[in-house]
Amino acid sequence: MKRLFLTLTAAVALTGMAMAEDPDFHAILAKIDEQTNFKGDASAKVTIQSKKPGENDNIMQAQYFRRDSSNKFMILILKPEVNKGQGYLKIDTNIIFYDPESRKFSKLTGSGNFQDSNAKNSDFQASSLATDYNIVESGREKLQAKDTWVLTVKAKTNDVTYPKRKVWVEVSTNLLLKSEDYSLSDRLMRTSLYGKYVNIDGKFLATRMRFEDNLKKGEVTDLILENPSMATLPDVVFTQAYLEKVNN
Amino acid sequence: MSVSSMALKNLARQKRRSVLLGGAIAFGILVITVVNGLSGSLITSLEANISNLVPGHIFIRGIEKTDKGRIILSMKDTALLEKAVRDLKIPVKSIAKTTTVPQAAIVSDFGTQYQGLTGLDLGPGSYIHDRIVIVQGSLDHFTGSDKILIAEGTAKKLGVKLNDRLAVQTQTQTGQQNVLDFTVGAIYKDPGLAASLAGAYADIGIVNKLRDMAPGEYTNFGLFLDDVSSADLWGAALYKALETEKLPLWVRGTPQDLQTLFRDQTWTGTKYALFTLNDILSFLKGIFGALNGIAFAILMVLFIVIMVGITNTYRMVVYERTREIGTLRALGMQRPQIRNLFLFEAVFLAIAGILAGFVLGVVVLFGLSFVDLSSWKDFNILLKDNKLQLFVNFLWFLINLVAVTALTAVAAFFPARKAGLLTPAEALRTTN
Repeated sequence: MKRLFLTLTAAVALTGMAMAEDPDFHAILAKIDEQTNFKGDASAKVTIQSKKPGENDNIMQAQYFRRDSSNKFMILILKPEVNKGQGYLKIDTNIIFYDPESRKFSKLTGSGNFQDSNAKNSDFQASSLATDYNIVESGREKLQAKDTWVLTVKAKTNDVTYPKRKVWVEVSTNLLLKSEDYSLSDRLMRTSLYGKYVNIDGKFLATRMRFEDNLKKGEVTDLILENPSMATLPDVVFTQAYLEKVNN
Repeated sequence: MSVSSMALKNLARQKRRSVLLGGAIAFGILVITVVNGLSGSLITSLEANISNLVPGHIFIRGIEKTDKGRIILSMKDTALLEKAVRDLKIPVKSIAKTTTVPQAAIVSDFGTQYQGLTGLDLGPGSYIHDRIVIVQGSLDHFTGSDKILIAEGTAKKLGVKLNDRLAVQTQTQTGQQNVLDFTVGAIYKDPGLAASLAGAYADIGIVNKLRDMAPGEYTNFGLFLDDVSSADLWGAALYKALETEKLPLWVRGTPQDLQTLFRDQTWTGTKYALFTLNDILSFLKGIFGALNGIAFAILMVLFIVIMVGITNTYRMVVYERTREIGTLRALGMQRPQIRNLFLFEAVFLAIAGILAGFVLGVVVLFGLSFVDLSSWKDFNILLKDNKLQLFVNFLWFLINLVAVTALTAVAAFFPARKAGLLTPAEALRTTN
């Protein structure tokens, strides 16, 4: 009887320890979303540097506007001259591309590449990890001396860019540091690194990102965000008319 | 002697003048015949080459739109379509059910090529057997396999040969990233520019897997007709028949027009779009049509200049032949006959010039059709067997014939009328 009591006590204690060690991972995903999505507007200047083997580096500059509360973004290309005036407008689930040459709008998908880089159009939208993914595996490991949760997540629906992701989340900050993005056939397609965040009024904006293509070896894209601002933007910025107007 | 015979004799009398005026007309006609012939040749070859590469002459696609606004191409049951084809007795050579990936990334260790990937049954009887030339490997055992058929140029750019492995990356129908491995099963003769249009081919099973589509599904129902030029006719008939069957249909239009409709409208279920090869080529045909129009406009400007020359020349001719006109009038020739004499001269001159220009133009085109343009590798979709196809546009010839003859007659009318109005005594009194 005494033995049974001890066993039960040990079991309860171990379960308790395990429960204490394993936090609510879904809450962690929600926390990532919560602290990287802005209640108001945000804007920044973006530099996109793409490297491809055997080709010259491609450097592009753009102005990036976000309104996470209504799931909108606008990216207006500033450089190079040949792409100047091109724009990406996301309203709800639609991403619309504007080409000032033809003065035409066309519809894009979130999983499409942004301007022939390794960044996806969906990389610019508000984070929705908790809404889009279920956690299927979890662990804890060191990533460059930082203590991280390693979570393998699978998409809840069939319309997110990557059906499976493995994400490294810093334990102390609940910020995403790294992500391995897998195809539907479970092939590693891309490794995303989030090198630096800035804290603006309690919200975090990743200002240094690197996207490495695991399929097309040697293709890398660096994204640098500068001059971040949380100033309120006029509503007109998130309209097709704005894209036409800035090109007139 | 009739007025027309006299007109011909007069033209022969003034050989140098006739040759110069007729030569100017002939030159203009030569230019427009060559321009029309070249544009016709290019569009005919383009149409023939593309019809050899695209999966049909008449296409039907089932379009769905998800709650999130994503457009999905999907067809499962086409019994109704096939019944309509049978009922209309459309002269169909074959029906192709294909799944197309508009832009797939084909990745090797040496690089990436972005091009279309078509999934189809590559077994015996497939339309692809008649339309491409296999230079390495064969299409045997493609069915149910992971083999891929690529163009020579693509193989070269990717640095791959037969039996090498490739990865093909694209999005699923719902926008998820996907990638599958393929084996190079065959390589076909490079169709130049068309490589980006035709791209690669593989069994529909593996392409459906890549697009996350169910087995048996496809995105395109294509009809190959016995005669490609009847595509518009049968396309219209099929559309009407499907409309009668109450099949939800999109309005007829080019694929570009329809894309805009798909983007802007919302609907439920599957709505079908029907278009023909000509709808696909309408943009290019518009360019060549505009080229012909510009050439015609230039010709008209040229002929206005020539008209001024003709008017001045005939004013001089009337002046030089005033006494002759007086003599003819004194011999009993009436005013309208005198007027017609000069008009006939001008019209005969124009017809001779037009015919000479047209014949010379055809000779130039005939000569060009022997020039080997195999070095124009990127443009060989516009050629037939690496040469320009001989194309003579008789409709444009008739339009030119009527327009230029009429312009020449108008140019000569006023001097001719003046000649007709001369009185015999007044004309005979002149000392020219």
